[in-house]
Amino acid sequence: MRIEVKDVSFSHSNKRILDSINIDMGPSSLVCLIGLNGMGKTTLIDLISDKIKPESGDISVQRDDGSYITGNRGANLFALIPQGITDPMYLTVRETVSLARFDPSSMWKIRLNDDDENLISKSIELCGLIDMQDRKFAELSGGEKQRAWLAFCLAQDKEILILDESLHALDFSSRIFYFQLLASLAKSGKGILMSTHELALAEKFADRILAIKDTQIIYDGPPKSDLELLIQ
Amino acid sequence: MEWNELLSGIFSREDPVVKTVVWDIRIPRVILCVLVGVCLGLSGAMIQISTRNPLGDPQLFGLGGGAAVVQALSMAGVIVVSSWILVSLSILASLASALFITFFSFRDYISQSRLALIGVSFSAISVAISVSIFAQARIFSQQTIHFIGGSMSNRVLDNVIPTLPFLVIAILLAVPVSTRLNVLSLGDRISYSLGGKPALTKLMAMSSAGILAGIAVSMAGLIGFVGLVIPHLSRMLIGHDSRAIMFMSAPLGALLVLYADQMARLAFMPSEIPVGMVTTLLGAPLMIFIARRLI
Repeated sequence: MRIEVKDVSFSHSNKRILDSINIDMGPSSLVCLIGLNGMGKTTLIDLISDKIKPESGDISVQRDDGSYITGNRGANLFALIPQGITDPMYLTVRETVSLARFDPSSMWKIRLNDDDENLISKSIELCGLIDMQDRKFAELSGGEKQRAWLAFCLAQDKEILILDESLHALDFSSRIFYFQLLASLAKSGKGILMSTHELALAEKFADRILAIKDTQIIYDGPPKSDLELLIQ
Repeated sequence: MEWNELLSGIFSREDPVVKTVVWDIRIPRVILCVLVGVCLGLSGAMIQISTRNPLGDPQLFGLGGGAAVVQALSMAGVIVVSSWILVSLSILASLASALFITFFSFRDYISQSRLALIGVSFSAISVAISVSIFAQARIFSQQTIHFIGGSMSNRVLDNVIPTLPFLVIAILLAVPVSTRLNVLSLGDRISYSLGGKPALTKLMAMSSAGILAGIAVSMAGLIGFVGLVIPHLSRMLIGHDSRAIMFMSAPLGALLVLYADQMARLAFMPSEIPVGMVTTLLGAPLMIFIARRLI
């Protein structure tokens, strides 16, 4: 599956946020989207995940067999962690991750089957949460919550993950752990698009950097050392 | 009435007095209590889950407001129509209230605090209008108290039968959303990305909740706390699956209203106190207990 963003522009209250953006991304790569606040990282993610429509240009999703997916892109194509996500009030970690197996086409699905359960267990294990899967989601630490949401994404079994992350509440070792996890997922075949302010970690772990500034993608390529200067 | 009298009243029709008491007074009242409880419990469950607000309650959020105004107009003699039309009008007015509240809460997305504020305001408006109508029509009787406090007295099956088609519609709306409400508990964005159709789900849940609230108000007036406390009680007893909460809220609601009505009828014989006062006296301490345990 590939995402193709072609000549996409978007304005908000007559102010241009994104101008003729072109991006092409596929599986097996960790792509970090960097840029200062207010430069349109979240807008770009909202556009790709179909929360908002582009003013002009086109965003399409290509299947592996070459055919294109039309219609509602956001619904059920990518696994998404949006910004400002609220913790489930009452659920445990495992209950939350289990909701990833929701099947919109079947109204009457009463129980999850064994494949679902295995996928849920595997996702929880991969994110290092096996010991706390029966704890209330709300009781987790910041880093654990972040990983629980990642487990939720993995349990959806999608090829592409889109993460609009805020890691600022996490301590340094949690952030490193998180990036390591993402890098290993990318190696195992996932395509991950993640917006982040963690330039040092992006430089170390990402496969590709997209830098966004003043409505444009000003850099699209492998990690390099002067990212900070680039986006200032 | 003794057990043997009750049984003979149900199964044989010899004694006309017993027969009248059982078939024309007690049994309709039991049916009424069960239906009102089911409606309030289910309505509250859907409001709480779909708005992700633990304060959700058909009374508190004004969903029954439309029905309250229609009933007040009818009691004041402004609208004089058959019971079928009156019930239909009440329920449609409640559905309209639910849609009004949902529509005005919607701006990009439905924010839970916006919906709560608009709902509470709307509820206050509808109660104010109803009370003004009573004042204008100079009805200051038992009847007014029994409407504002909720009551099952002097109701016959004629008040029940017209609500049944609406009850079927409300349940037909509630069943398909019950699974989707689970993913809605993770928020609109995530629900959308899972294919859960959050906007449609909320619209269907609120419509169903509105119809159910309308049925309850048109049968028994304004009964507080059932819709608020019952979904929390279900959650405590059976877990957090929205389907289970909805399924459990119906019988628990019926049970609470049945008990409350017994107390309302018997506590200060021969005069009856409004059943809504009893549900509040029973429900509020229960709510405080649950709030300390659960939230």
